[in-house]
Amino acid sequence: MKRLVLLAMALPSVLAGQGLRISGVTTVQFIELRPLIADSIDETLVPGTGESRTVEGGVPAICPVTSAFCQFERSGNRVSAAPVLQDLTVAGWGWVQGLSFRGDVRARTQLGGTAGFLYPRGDDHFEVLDAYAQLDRDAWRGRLGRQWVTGGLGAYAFDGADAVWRPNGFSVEGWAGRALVAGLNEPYTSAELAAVDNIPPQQNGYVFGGRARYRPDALTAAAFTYQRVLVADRSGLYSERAALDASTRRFGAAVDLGLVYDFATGGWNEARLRVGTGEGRSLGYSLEARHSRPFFELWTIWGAFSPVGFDEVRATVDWRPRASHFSYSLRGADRKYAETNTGIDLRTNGWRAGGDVRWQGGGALAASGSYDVDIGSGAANTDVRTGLGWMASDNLSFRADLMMTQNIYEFRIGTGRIYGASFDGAVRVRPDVRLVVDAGLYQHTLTNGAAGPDWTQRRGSMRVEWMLGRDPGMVGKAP
Amino acid sequence: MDAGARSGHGRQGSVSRFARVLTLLVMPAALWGQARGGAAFPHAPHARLFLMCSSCHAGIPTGDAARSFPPVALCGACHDGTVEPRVQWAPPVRSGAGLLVFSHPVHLAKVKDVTCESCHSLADPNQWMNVSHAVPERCISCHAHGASAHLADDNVCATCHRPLTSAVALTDARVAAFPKPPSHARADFVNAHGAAARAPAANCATCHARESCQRCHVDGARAPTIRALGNDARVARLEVGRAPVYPTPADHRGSEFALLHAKSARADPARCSVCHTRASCETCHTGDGARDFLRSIPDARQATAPGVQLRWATPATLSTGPHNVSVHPPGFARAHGAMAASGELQCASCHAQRFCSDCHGGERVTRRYHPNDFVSTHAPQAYSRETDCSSCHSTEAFCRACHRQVGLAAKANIRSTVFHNAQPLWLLQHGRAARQDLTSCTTCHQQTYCMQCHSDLGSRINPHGPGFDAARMSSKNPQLCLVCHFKNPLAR
Repeated sequence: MKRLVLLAMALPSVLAGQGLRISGVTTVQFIELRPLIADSIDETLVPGTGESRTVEGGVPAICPVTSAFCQFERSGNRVSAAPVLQDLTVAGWGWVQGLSFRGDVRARTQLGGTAGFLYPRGDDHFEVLDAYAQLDRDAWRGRLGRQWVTGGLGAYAFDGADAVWRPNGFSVEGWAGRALVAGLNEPYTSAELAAVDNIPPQQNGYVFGGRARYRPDALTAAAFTYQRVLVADRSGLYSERAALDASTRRFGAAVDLGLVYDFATGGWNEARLRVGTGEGRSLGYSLEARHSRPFFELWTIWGAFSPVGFDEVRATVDWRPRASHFSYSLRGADRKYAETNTGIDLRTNGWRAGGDVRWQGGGALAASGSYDVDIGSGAANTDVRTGLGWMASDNLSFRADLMMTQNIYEFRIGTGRIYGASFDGAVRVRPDVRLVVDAGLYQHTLTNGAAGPDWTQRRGSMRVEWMLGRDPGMVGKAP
Repeated sequence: MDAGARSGHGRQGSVSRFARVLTLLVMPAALWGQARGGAAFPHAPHARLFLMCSSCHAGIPTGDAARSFPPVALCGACHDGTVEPRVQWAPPVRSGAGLLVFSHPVHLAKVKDVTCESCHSLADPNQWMNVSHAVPERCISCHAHGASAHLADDNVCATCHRPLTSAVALTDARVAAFPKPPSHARADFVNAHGAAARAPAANCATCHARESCQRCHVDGARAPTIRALGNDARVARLEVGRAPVYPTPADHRGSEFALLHAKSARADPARCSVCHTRASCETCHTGDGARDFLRSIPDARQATAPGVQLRWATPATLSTGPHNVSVHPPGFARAHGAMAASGELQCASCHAQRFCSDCHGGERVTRRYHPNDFVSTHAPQAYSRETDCSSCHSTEAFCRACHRQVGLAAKANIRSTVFHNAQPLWLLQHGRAARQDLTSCTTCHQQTYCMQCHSDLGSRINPHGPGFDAARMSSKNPQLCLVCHFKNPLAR
């Protein structure tokens, strides 16, 4: 009893020393479009012969010899969706030195829109992005719970434990637990994956990984990462990869190296070497050589289809004259695909070029314009954009943009032009509450008989960002 | 010098030179005292009555306080209610030291050929008893320190003034009424005053106390220059309610400052501590990478001023919307991989891990990376892996789900679907496209779609390329082969 009384007496002062921060982002979006739908027409109304014909407007159609109808696709009725996302972040700390917990959750729903038309994952109403406890000391750190590990292999979430030991200039990290699908944040056997693939993984996976980092000084670092995802019954692997990343900023130059190796296919997914100027230069450049080959986990058959990679060189130049309100950027890249051994004549290279000009006025006004062209295998387009922003104060800003995109060529959707105008605005209602809105109008014109979804639409979103509580080290009223 | 001739009053014979000197020397003290003793004595109307300054201020030259001002009864000799109306006057009462460090006896001993009028006469020296306080310009006209004006930067205040904290006789009102030197009104004064304050001949203490600095200075309890000033209750009262001022230093204005400030901060953390509390840093440095450095910056409990209040940023708001802080150079979002993965860039110094997963988690909430209309323009970037979609999105779940919604995803039956853009031979041509852009294929096609031809279930068309290492892949996952093959093709 005496202990309870003492605890009750001490509790207020103990709690007063703790910190708790809750922040949230509420997002409401609105999108419209006319999706592509299948249609058919009496075969006798379609001129020509054979299976491949075109219906009115040059839209391609298939006229099977066994059918009295030709099949084609066209834009259907306009549909809309209004997904709502509520993100909530809770962070607490202070009970024991270095002890903290963190949770990020997301709720989804759809406010309205056309019945049956669903924004991606709109039917997945609740998700835990991460939720872990952390004990952080000078030389080491441990985490337990749902968490992320980010590095040369990308970003992976998992349910498990992570430990880092970091003596001076060196760190070793290891993690293990139930694997979640990269980019989906759900277990391998989740309904989300089963809904989009009729051969989904049958078992969950377990991830094991480790990383060693060496940082001899503030300007140089290297890291080696290895990770494998094991099928739950240990009959095989979903993936096994390793990455080497190194970066240095010496003698006014920046050199970055990234390598990713896939043990399942015995090839490099990524090999990238980038050389450029350090930050803060008036005239900056970068030159990059890259080899890229897609990576597929072993629950899919895609890796067995022998995908090939491409080699690319890329260059950028950025010029920011010290005494000028203007800054300029130029960029370009050229890539060539590896031999596919298919004997088919299709484009085997691609290139892109672009540039932009930015103007920063006396502080309140900023403008920008850009032009990009991207020609490659699979799709090509040109894109022109210009925008004007006005920062009325630290708490109020607006921006208006105009855009024009021309889809020159694409395997699937076809050619067309999109003209658009959009508006962005942000206002800080209180020091810890901010409202962000954007709205856009887009006009899509399909050309050359292309069969594609009509992207003509109104589009907008509203986001409220808010926070309760204080950051560590801050006492008293919020500024 | 013949004072009488110089003054031209016509009373040369009746006023001795010595008396005139004494009289004029005592005048400043007499006039100064009016501020504390009541209404100032109107000298000019009494000009015909008093022939010598020493008549009333005999004690001034000798430092005899009791005789520095006339007795009250002397007024009553005339102001008795009959000859003249009665008046209320009292000699000034000194309650302590004033701001001026001045001794009439010392000056009298050191300076020759000076009269009371030398310092106290007003513009018209021909009018007797047309006197007032000695203006500072008179002082610096004699003192040889070369100051161009009383309130000029090149003046040395301590020549005539004691520190404000020692001038206990001054009231709050007197302190509040101190004239403001022109230098203080310059646009760059706040940014530049630090160096002047640290100079050996700094003038700050004449008018300021610690509380003056601690209105803005976060490090008011640490900085030696501020500590040397001492506390003053009058200044403290006057500073109540005055907002701190934090102009942006010139070197903070560059777009690259946010990225490059670490070096200068580590070299001179005391400079940061002038305006910033630790909370300023933690606005961005939410991680633990800069933890050791942040300990050298005063936290809110140690701070003597609120400090610069940076925009209240949450992990979600830090880089959203038009308020973006330009920390990273153009193109950084695409090129940050190796820098972040290697650890060269200590992302955790500023970003919580949620910052990464906001993008890499696969579902966009903030418009940090893609523009609003990215959907309409993403195809070339996806095909060329310019932006590696799979580093953030599950192409099966995210891309295919959307493509199904908009009618782009392939239907189950090859023959029933619209082909690729009026290319009737596409089925024969697709091999190269598939091998070059297989990721893009998977955003519309499920595995079973391709297995209609490329499996034992279908036409048994071999999809494997020349370099396909079946044994290696099988060793990693033997079950994979059995998706397409009825039996393990590697089994003997």
